[in-house]
Amino acid sequence: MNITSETSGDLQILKVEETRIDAIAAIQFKDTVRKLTADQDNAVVLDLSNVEFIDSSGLGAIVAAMKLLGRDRPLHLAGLTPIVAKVFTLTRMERVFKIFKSPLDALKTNEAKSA
Amino acid sequence: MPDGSFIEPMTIQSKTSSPPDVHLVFPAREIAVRRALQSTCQALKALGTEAAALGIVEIVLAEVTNNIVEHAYSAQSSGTITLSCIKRTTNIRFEVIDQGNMLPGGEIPSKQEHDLTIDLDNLPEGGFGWGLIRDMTTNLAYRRCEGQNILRFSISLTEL
Repeated sequence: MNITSETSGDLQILKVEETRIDAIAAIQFKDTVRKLTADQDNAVVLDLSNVEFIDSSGLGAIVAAMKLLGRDRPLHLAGLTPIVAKVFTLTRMERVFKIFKSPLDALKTNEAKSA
Repeated sequence: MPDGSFIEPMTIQSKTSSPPDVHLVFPAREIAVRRALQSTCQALKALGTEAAALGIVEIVLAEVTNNIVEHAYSAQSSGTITLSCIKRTTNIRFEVIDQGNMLPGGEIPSKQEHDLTIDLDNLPEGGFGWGLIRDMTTNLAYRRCEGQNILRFSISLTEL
């Protein structure tokens, strides 16, 4: 699973460089996020703008990543494509995350830095 | 919800209706499932299905087939999935057949309403599948017949 990491301001921005987070990709996604976020303490913004497809396994993996980061390091989402946004809306998981239009939007607001 | 009475014998493959636009038989394994989904979407795209509907189709088929791989065939090392569909003017009609375990209680599970006000540690990481299938389909019907699970549903092309 190709995910790139960049730290900007007080945020770690993880960009998923894949088009799918499905049943096959879910475990790799969790492992990669775990590795990329180890030994850091910034809040994380997950940039999903390349992701065209997510299923319930992928959604579960994002929730698992949020738990992994723990209470003190919020995981926010950015750049949801229409179908990904639909999955978050229908499962009501949109309420669990702060969702930004883009990582830039997240950087502009202090809201992203706190839980 | 629609009950079993909706199901007529072999709607998709009956002699009186048109042949399916897609008819695939593939192993119930993750890689084969992903390919089958992509083939189905490509075929439906070639038939003029718009991107928004294709997104719904792919999610619903992923949830249905993942359930078959993980639950219906959970105790078995192999099995196949048969997927057929017909594109109509206002919807796409699907039929998915497997020879795995029956759905629990012989019924389609209801949508799980998760409590999202709970602690981070207790947030759900699963149990979303049937809710998504129910939300994104109409005429959802399940039948167990001669060792087969037969699931049929429609995806609207007009209400997206």
